[in-house]
Amino acid sequence: MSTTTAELSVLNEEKTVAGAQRAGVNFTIYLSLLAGLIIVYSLHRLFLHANAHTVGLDYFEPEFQVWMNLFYVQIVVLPTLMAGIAYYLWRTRELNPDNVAPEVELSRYFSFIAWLSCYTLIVIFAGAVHGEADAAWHQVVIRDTDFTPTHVGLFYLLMPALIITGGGSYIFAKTRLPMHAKQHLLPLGVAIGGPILIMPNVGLNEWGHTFFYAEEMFGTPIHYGFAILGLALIALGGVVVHIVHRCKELVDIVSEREARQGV
Amino acid sequence: MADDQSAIAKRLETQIDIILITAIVFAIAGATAFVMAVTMGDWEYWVDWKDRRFWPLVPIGMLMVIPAALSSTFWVKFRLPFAFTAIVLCYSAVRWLSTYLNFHIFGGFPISFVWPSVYIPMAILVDCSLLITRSVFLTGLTGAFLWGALIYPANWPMLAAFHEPINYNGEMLTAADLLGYEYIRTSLPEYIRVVERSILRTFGDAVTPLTAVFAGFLCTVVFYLSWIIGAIVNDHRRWLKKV
Amino acid sequence: MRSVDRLLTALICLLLVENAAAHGERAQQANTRMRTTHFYDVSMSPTNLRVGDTMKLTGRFRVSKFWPDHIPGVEDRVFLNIGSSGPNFVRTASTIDGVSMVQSTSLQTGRDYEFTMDLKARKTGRFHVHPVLNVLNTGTLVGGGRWITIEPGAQPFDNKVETMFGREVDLETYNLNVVYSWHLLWFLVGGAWLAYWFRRRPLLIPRYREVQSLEDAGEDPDQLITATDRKVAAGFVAVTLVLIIGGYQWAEARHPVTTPLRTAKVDVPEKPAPVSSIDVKLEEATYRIPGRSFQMTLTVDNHSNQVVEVGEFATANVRFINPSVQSVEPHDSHDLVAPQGLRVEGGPLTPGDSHVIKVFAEDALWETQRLTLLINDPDSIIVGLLFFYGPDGSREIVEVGGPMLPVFQ
Repeated sequence: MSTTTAELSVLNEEKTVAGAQRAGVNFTIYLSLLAGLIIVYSLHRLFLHANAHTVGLDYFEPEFQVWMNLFYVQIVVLPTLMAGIAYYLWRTRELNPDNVAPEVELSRYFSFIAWLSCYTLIVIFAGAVHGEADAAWHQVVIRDTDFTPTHVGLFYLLMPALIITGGGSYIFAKTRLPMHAKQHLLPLGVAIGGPILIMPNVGLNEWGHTFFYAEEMFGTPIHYGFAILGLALIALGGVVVHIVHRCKELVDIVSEREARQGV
Repeated sequence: MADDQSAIAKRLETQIDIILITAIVFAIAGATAFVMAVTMGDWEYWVDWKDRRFWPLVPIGMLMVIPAALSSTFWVKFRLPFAFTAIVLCYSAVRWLSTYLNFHIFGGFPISFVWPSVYIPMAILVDCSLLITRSVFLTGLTGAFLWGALIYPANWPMLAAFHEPINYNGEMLTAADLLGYEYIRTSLPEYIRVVERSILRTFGDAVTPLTAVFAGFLCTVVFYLSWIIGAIVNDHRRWLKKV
Repeated sequence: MRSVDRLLTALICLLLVENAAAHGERAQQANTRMRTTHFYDVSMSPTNLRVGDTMKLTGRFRVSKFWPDHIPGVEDRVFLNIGSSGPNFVRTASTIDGVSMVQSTSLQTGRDYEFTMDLKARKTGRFHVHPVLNVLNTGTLVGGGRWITIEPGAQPFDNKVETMFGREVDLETYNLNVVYSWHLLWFLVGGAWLAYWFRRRPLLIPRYREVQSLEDAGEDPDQLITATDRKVAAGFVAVTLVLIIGGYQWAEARHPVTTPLRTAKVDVPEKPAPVSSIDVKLEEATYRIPGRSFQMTLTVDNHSNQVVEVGEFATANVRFINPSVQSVEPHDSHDLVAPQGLRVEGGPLTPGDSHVIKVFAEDALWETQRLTLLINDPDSIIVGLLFFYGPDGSREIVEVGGPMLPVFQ
């Protein structure tokens, strides 16, 4: 990947009135990314409302196949997407991390924050909005199998999405940000690794529900694994400080250069 | 005409503010709501779980963790005393979204049965005490204590009506109990509620005040511990060579 | 709020797959469905009603004497409940043996109980409704279900009750204005505190820069907190405390008498185990998988003073009917009745008679209800209720159970 200021990534350039290139956030792309995620989730959510209470109550009824079809599509599409994104990020990695221009590095920090914004938006969908749809669902129905309509959304759509956006954020940092090239930022690892581990923790949850908990109390020890992994997001505070610290240095250099060059 | 350096810096810093704060808002709202749901969700969801012994203790103690941990970052690195209010405000907004979407529309319950508690006033008190004292130790003793102790009076204006007695087929119930009985929760039977039951060991009738004092003490302890954890985890100079 | 509800409903209708519906209780292991609680005589009436109308649900259940030792029983805590995919009804009354079941209770193993529920229709739609019994640490035991159709009523649904101070309230919207107002007020106060700090823009990097430069200079970054900041904070503390204390006093004045949540356990009077004038011993039970044929060999002693014969075998809510004794038709598509499902060899038993009979229960319901998966359970005890009928229509119910042997070929 080139490291000259002329090749700022598309996401993070803006043009002055005179047409000169300068570092900045492209809010159209940034907001489009977030809007895209919101639209996809909203459609899934509307599908849930339309079909959970009608054809989603009994795994053993033929109509339930609608949910299983959705599940099969998701478990094919999402891992494929995950592999594709990881491959792309790796193939286009920075080969010369010691020689990245400050403008480029700053623009990459903007992209990194965009990745984190997508990741944390999925945290809201998964942790708050859909997680509690699952809570509401389990408390009004008789526990069926592990493939309930809300689980199809929570465990097999949003958890993979969490892994894609969280893992993508991490790989993006590793492959493009010079400070991350040869070392791992502990808070970033914790803030992304913790929630990603929620996926395997589903195993504990479902196993535990099978053997220990017949009722659907939500604040129950079988869910504490989720809580601990969710608490790992506290470490985003350290990531924020890292970003602010580094961007402060980069802003100083870039603003000085741009002012000198009259961009 | 080209901007001068400070104008360029200001433009870039504003842009960073916007996208970084967006990510932070998403993270704190999502993480707090998730952690709360899987630790003390039931007390938040149902009005017939909002009792005098557990509801004023467990949720407020649990809600202390993330704000205190992130307060350490925002205070030490930025001297910005707003982490508690920001987190609780975001959490409350997401809880309302979830209450409406999940429990009202999807679950089918009336909002009068599933409204969330108010935590914002206590969050303001912690932030302000941190600002006024500029001391973590004193904030733990004042703001954090009030955070735990005041949940009951802060919510009582909304909750009191639900504890008004009703003669129901010859049996005295509170309005909250009646909501819990009438609006059917198939997998959350009455007995599963973790709420106050009559015992021999009460000091007079002082259930609520004693709970408030204990909640204050608990929150002071959780505040210190979470602050320390936040300070350790959020050290941006911690790099590992291998994982 | 109501217009938002309507908009969401319209959007949801766009994505509706089909207006079919199903229910869910077959996930539980077959043996636990057969040997925990037997629901019988379940009746719901009317099955077509309008919003605001009341449906009466009645029935009986027997707590199995074969209840597995390793599963917590009904002696601790149970709660009579409904399975209907949400609060589509409002439960206005429920009883077990005439005792109000607002709270939970405890029961005895091996006894028959009679239950009733009054359910006021709340939402329009077609719902599969089951009586259920929640048992502490065991789970949800499900009775037989019926399809209930609720059509729109003349009036929108309300749920008015009167408090002991004479105030009539609608629980659907009870105290919501107060809840919304206080939340809004606190959002405004909290938002004002945040607005005070975010009035400086940009915020994060400049603030970080200031803290760093003070620390680098060996000075205390606390000096970034100004006297104005402290005055504003003091103001917020004062406003917050005044609002909390004032709000509390306002609530106390508005609701001077309040009571804590009710948690008492209700007592259902103890009763002796049902005395049977017919003794049944299970000699052998087999299930022939290829033919979906369940067969029991029973030794029956008839101590009664009339001729009796087996008219029904019921297990896990499936009813196998002996057509030569009685005629029972399913009420709807999911009423688990096999009208021709039971065949008895060995004939009626005269008073004082004791002989071996063979009972065959054959129907696809064994499979559709996943009872054949008994062979996959770690425990293959089969249990059910045998209904003996006399010539005058009198009925005696005997629980029978024991190990079942599968026949694979």
